[in-house]
Amino acid sequence: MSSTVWWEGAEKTRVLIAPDSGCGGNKPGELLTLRHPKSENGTCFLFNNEMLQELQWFKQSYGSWFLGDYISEDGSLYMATPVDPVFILLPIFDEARMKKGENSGKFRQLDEILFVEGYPGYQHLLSLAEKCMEIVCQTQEVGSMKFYRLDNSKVLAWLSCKIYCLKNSLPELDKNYAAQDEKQTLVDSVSIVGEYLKTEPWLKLLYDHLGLKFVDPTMKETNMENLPTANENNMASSNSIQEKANKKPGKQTKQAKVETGSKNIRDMFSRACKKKC
Amino acid sequence: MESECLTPEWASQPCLMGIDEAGRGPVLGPMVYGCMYCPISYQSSLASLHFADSKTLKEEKREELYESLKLDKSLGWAVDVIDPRELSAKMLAKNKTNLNEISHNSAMGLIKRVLDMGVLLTEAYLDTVGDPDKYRIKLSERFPSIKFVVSKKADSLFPIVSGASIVAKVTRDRALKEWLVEETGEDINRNFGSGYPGDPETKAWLVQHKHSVFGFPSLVRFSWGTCTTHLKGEVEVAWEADENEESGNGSSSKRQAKLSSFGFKTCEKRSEEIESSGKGRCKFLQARKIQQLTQF
Repeated sequence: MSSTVWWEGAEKTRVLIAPDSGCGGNKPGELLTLRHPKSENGTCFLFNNEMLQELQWFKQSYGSWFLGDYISEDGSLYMATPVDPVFILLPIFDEARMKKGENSGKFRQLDEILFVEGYPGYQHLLSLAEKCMEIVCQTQEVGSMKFYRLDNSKVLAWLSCKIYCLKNSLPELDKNYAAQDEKQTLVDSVSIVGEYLKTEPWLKLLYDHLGLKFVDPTMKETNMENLPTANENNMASSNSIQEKANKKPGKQTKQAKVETGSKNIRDMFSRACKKKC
Repeated sequence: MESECLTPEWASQPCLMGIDEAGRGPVLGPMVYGCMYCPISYQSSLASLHFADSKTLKEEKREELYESLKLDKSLGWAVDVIDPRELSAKMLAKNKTNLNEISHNSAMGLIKRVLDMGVLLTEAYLDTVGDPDKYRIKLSERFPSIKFVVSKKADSLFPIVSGASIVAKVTRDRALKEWLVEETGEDINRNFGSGYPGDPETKAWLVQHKHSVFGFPSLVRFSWGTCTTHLKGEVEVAWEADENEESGNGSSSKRQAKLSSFGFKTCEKRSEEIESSGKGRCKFLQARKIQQLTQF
């Protein structure tokens, strides 16, 4: 049976899961290109109803979607998940204070801080920044003008809070975490939060702050020390064809060990669904 | 689908019911269970209505009898139309329901429906499905107040069952005639013969309407052995649940067939094999193969 060529010229349909935008949610939101806080590469974020979301992608081989009476050939699942804008704005605010050596740096106004050459998308986040950046900044008001300066101790306090919330959530999310000791869960929590932090200065400062020995994730030997039961998932590496490869200069190909006995995202979703039902 | 919504005025009198099915064996279309009921005092009049086993009647005669029985105020009737997709889903499910069980449940559903209307049923006559004694015991346990007669050829022996047979048969015939083809974009021929697996016209229809990936139109009962035979050599899907079971047993899972080897053209080259890996991310995300997307 010959297949039809109905798709020629048409835009491809894709499946995206996103949070419900709630009240007045007729707008699909807009895509902003912002610098990723870890890699510093231009990255697409969805901004909708004052909620910033990052985009994730999951695909198994040989999949497609049934959409009503139609088939979407692209079997990928795209996910827009909320991300704390403080993570995204942290590097911008760090640069803006022009800190040198031991001095604390300068207070700046928001519109000045959010002016980033080549990335006009940041300016969409002005009102969001007003709401959320005080938690990690010192502020000064001069007349009607407000000035912000990133504060290291506040950042570390905020990050620690993130880590401990995550450390408490992981055992409920996944049985593998429930089975391991508390310190290992703490290390895993840091590695998850580390997805959004540059090694210098924040990740290292965070390790110090939590009393953990810093482990460079690219070094295989030290990973083995911290994850004695982990196994290399060779199948996943050899079978995968990465559509969106992000190459960092100097980064080694070996990454964090794949979790033992873990299942793919569908099982995670189905487990979460069972909990709700 | 049933006779007038209102409970008939004679419902408080002792009544009897006949139940029969149509379309048990075909590979196409619904299986229909029909019932007919009336006061026991009306039973002697049934013989004069010239009901006969619907299988022995011509279609025109069946239609004529069907219309006349609908006008008869002393008769009530109801049907349960079981969609071919429902049949397939139940028979192919992980926890399978066989056709006999589906039949039993349909018959019991009709009895319950009529009792719930307020009809005082005291007798019921059914053609057997499976062992007649086991079936009768099953029915009696469920409906202790009713006397059941379960036998082979009930549709020939009991006029009330003959009537039920006509109700079921005509309902099925009409359902097939009016079948709304849901598959858009397909040119579906409606000359599918009797629908029985041995019918040459039906066989030709199945060959003509077979699809490498999706099988057949929704009119077809996929759970029939006939379909299995026709679909050999077509795309075989490797199901994740099956793979999980197989890996648990230690045996290797089979390789997924590619659409390109069946003559399908895809928009993107090698898109079939692409999968996310989560490479470069932390342990948690890599284990779940979630990749960051820089460009949407």
